[in-house]
Amino acid sequence: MSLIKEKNLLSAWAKENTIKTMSNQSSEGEASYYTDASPNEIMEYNYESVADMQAMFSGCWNIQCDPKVKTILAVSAIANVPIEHQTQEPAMDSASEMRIPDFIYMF
Amino acid sequence: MYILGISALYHDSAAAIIKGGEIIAAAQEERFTRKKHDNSIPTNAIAYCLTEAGIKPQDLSAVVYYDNPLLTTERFVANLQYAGDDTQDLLNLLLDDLIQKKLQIHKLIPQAVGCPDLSDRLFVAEHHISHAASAFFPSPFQKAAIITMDGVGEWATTTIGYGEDNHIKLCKQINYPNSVGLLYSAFTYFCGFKVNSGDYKLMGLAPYGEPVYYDTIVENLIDIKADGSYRLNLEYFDFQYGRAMTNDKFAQLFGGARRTPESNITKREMDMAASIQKVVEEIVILTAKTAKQLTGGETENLVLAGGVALNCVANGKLQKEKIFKNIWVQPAAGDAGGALGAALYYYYQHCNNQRIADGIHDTQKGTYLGPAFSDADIEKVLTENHCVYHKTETTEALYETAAELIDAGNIIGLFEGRMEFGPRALGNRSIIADARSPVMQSKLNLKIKYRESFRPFAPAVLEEDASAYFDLEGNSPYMLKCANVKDSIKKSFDLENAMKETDNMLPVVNMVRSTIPAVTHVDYSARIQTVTQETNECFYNIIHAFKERTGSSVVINTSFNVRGEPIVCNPYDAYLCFMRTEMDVLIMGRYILYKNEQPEFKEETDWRDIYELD
Repeated sequence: MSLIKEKNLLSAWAKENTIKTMSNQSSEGEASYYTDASPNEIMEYNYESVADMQAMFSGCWNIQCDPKVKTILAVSAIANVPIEHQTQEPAMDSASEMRIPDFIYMF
Repeated sequence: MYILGISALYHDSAAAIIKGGEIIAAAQEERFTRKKHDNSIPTNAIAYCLTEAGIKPQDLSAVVYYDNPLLTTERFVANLQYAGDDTQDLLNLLLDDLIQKKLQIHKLIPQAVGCPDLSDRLFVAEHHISHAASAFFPSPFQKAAIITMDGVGEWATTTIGYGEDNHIKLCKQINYPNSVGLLYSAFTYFCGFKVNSGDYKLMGLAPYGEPVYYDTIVENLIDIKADGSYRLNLEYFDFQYGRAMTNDKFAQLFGGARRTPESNITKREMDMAASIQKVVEEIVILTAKTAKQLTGGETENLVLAGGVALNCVANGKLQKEKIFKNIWVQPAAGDAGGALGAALYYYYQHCNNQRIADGIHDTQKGTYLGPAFSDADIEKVLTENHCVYHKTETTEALYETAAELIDAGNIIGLFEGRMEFGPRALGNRSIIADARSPVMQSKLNLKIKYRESFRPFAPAVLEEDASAYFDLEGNSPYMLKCANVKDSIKKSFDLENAMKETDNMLPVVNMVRSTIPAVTHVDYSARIQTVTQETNECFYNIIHAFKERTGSSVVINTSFNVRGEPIVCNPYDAYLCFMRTEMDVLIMGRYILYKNEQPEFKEETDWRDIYELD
C-alpha cells in the first residue's frame, strides 16, 4: 500500500540534498560527505509556527484510507486539523499498539 | 533574567535553569520518576529547577526547548518517502510520538511549567546547536572548536563548529540517516544490549576482543572519508523503517543472528565491540583533524557533546593524539545536556549577553547541579523507616570513619550534597570501595549492582596524585576520559591465553592486572575521575583520609543504583537501594548506617520486578 501517491509534491519542500542523503547511491567521486550546517536559528514556537508547518504539509499528502484509524488520525492531525481548534485528543488504539519500540529513540 | 531549558521526548529528559549566564540547577527527569532514561516532559525536573532558583513560572524570561519539532517532522516525512510502501511502522511512530507529543510542545510545556501563557516566551533551538552550546558556553575556553555527535537530532548527526566569546557557529554537518551514533547503536543492539543504556556496556566489552571485524565494517557498512565524514550503507540497517536497528543482511555479515539479550556473551560479541570501537575512534580523530583545519588552527581547544562524546575511550585516544591541546566534554553530553545548552544558547547568542571565560575554570560547578538534602531531611527519612544510625560529631570524624571502613573492605553508599547532572556519579550519589581489592570488581557487579560480571569500575583519584597511577593527559573531573594505568603499577597477565579456551570472562575479570585491580580494565585502561577539594570537599577528604591511612589515593567510584535503576535522588531512594543490596554501609550527610544493625527489611514486591533490565 502506498501512503504517499504524489511524491513530487512532497519533494517540493523535502530538499533535494536531504532526499539524496536518504538514498543508497554510490559514493564514487565524492571527497567529503559534509554539507553546510543548517542556519542555527532559534525560533519562537507557538500556534502560528505550527500552523505554518501544517500549511507546508497541506497538499503534500494524498493518503489512501488505511484500515487503521490511527493512520488516518495521524495524517488528519498533520494536514487538516488546526491544532488550536482541537477539543479532544485523537482516539488511541490499544496500549500495546501505542508502545514505541525502545530502539527507535531517534524519532 | 531566568531562562529554563528543556530536553524531552527523545530520551533522557531534563530541565536546566540559568540566571544570567550562571547555571543555577539542572536535573534529569528519570531521577524523580525512577524510570531510567525517562523521555517524558520533565515536570518534576522543571519544578525542582524553579524551586532551586526560588522563582515562580511567571518570573521566567524564556523557556527554550532543545530541538525543533518542525525540522524533525520534515526529516520524518522525507524518511516516509524513502520508505515508500513500507511505512506502517513509521506511521505508528508518527502518531504516537511526533503528532501527539513533539508537535504539541507549545501546549505540553506551558502545562508542565505551570504557566498557561508562555506566548512570546517559548522558543526552540536546534538539537545540535543545543549540544554545541552545552559544550562551549560552560567550558573554560574563550575560543574553541566544537564537535557534536549523536544518533540524530532533527537532521544532523555530526556537526563541526566554532565558538568564540558569546557566539557559536556550526559550519559543517552530516545528516540522517548517516550517523555514527546510530551505527554504534546498531552494534549495541546486535550484541544483545539495549540501545542507549547498553552503549556503555559495548564500550566496556571492547577490550576483551580483537578488532577482527574492522575491515568488514569499513568495507560494507560505512564509507569513511579522509576528513572524517562518512556515509552508511542502508542495505544493512532497518532503523529507517521504524523497526529494529539491523536486518538479516547485517546478521549474515557477522555470521548469524543477533545475540539474545542476557544470554552468554561470546567471542563474536567481544570482537564486534572491539571493531566498532576502533571505527568510532577513527571517525572521532579524523573529525577532530578536520575541525582543526576548519578553524584555521586558531585554537588549541576542543569541546565535545552529543551521546558519542560519552565514549570516554575515544575521548582518551583523542587526547593522546594531541590534535588539540585542551579538550572539554560536557558532563551531560547526551540529550539531558541539551536542556542546558538550549538555555545558554538563548542567553548568550540570542540575547547577545557578555560571556567571560578565564581559560582554566569551567562554569559547570562540578556538575553538582541537582537537589541537596539537609541533615533534617535525612534524619526524618531515617526515623520514619526505623533505621539504626550514628551521627558523627564532626565532618573530620566522618572522613576518618569512611576511610577506615573502605580499608576494612566494606562497600559504602555515599550520599552527600547536590546530585550530579549527567550519567556519571561523581561522589555525591556514589558507591565507593577499595580499588586495591582483587575481588571487588566481581563482588560489586554480582552482589551490589546485579549486573554483568565483565563490566569495569571507575577510579576516583586525588587530582594531585593522578599521575602516579595513570598516563592521563590533563585532568578528568567528569570521568569522561580513559587512560592506561602506569607501567610501574601494572601486573602482567596473559589475556589472549586466558580467553583462548573459554568465553567465560569471570576468571579474567578476577586476574590481578595492577596494584589497583578493581579499577584496571583488561587492557590496563581506566575511566578516571580526578577529584579536587575545590569541586567536592567531602569526597576529596574521604579519599585523602584513605590515603593517609593506606598510602593509596584511589577508590572505586560507581553510581549509587542497581542495574536498570536511575541513580538515587533523595535519601529514601538511597535507603531503599542500600537495604535491597548487599552494601555494607550507608553514609548520608553526617549519618552512618551499618547494614548489620538495621531492622529486618521487607517489601511487598520484589524490587527486581520494578526495574526493567537495561
